Amino acid sequence: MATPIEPPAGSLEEKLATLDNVQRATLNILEDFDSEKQRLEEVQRASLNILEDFDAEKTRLEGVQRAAINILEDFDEEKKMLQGVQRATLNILEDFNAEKTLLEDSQRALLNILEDIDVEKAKVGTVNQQLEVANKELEAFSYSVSHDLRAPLRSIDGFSLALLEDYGNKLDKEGRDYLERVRGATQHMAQLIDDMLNLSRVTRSEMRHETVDLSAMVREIAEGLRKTQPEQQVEFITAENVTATGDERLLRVVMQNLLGNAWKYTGKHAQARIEFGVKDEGGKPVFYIRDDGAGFNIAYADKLFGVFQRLHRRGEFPGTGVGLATVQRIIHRHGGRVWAEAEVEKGATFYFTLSS
Amino acid sequence: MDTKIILLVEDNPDDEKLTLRALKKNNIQNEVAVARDGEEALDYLFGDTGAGGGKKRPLPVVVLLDIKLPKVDGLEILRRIRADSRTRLLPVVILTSSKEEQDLSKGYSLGANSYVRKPVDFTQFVEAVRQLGLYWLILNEPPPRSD
Repeated sequence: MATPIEPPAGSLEEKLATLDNVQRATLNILEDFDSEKQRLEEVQRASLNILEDFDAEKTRLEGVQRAAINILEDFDEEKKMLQGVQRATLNILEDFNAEKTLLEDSQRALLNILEDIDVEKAKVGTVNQQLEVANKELEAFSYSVSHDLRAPLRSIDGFSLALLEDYGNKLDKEGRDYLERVRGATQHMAQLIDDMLNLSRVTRSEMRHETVDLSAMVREIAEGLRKTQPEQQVEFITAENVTATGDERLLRVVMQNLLGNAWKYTGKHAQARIEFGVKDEGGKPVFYIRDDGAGFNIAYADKLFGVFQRLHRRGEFPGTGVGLATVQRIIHRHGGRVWAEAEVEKGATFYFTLSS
Repeated sequence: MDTKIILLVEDNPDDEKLTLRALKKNNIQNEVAVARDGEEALDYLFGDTGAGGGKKRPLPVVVLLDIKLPKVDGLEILRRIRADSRTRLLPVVILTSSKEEQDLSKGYSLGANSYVRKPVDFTQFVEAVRQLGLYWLILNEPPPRSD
């Protein structure tokens, strides 16, 4: 509508009608302007909202920026810490290197020691072999000795007896006595050989570790003793169920010797009593064999276990003085102790322990 | 077949004399053949009489064998005796001074019938011989002869 406004032509009614139209047009325009205004206001409001949103976004972005800056600061601190750790790690690596060098030195030293040990071990091996050889030679020697020494003894004894039997009537009492002494000495020497052979075997033999029923062993040995001299009156008191750990054969030698002694030294008493038992001493078992026979003078106790040492004359009681030495050697091999208490004519008690 | 001969294999002349004496003291009248070493023992058992004709000697009823012999060891003699079919069942009594366990077990594992230790005490020896004589010559039934 770009037509210029001219005063309206025509009559008044026409002019009023035109003014009406103009007014109506103006009102329309004003309405349009109003709606435009409202529209603009809406746009303005929308813009303001958008601006508000932008503001909020801006604030958010500023927050994000601050957070990012904080994170960067943290990263920086972390980086510093890591650098510190890195430095510390480098230090540790240097220390490790130093330690490694030390360890390598120790290792070399150890290898040297091991080589030395190997050399020593080989030496010990050689010594052991030599000992084994020596042992075997000793074994063969003892065997030879015992066998070869017995034969001449048999001859001496045999022909002395032959002399006595065949030519005894041509000899006086003194002559016969001499021959009897020859025979006696021969028997004694045979016993010595046997005892010494046993003694040497005890040290050389290998030890077994088994459970041994000592009560049963004592009963068997007592039975055997009774059979050899049934006329001797001896009461045996044997504790029941006494067991020990050790080498059965060697322990049998111990019991044979101790019981044999008890039997021998009660031989001159009309009635005798031999006791076997075990008592507790500080938690350890102490085995004992007690007799009420001839006993011995405790003053000579240090000679008791010596080889060939005796506390009685051969005339009083026979013996070679090797039995108790053998007993002691066996007990010591078991890690135990053996000792005795006695009184002359009141009997003796022999105690022994075995290592548990 | 009545002659019960004892073969004594013993190198020690003293022991030989004493054993013969012990047998005599026990009134054992049997013939005793003596071999003084292993070679003689084997010759007695497996060789001929030397009288010509290759005649074999009658086997003894028991062999008293000492272990320690020169030339051929007593246990080797035992091994040969047991190895030969003619003498496999021949009673052998090992008579020795040895008290060694190994001789005892070797003797028995090689087939000895008996193992007797010679005591030093002659009286005991005489008693041992008496018992041996009583057992092996009288009580024991010898194995059937293969000849």
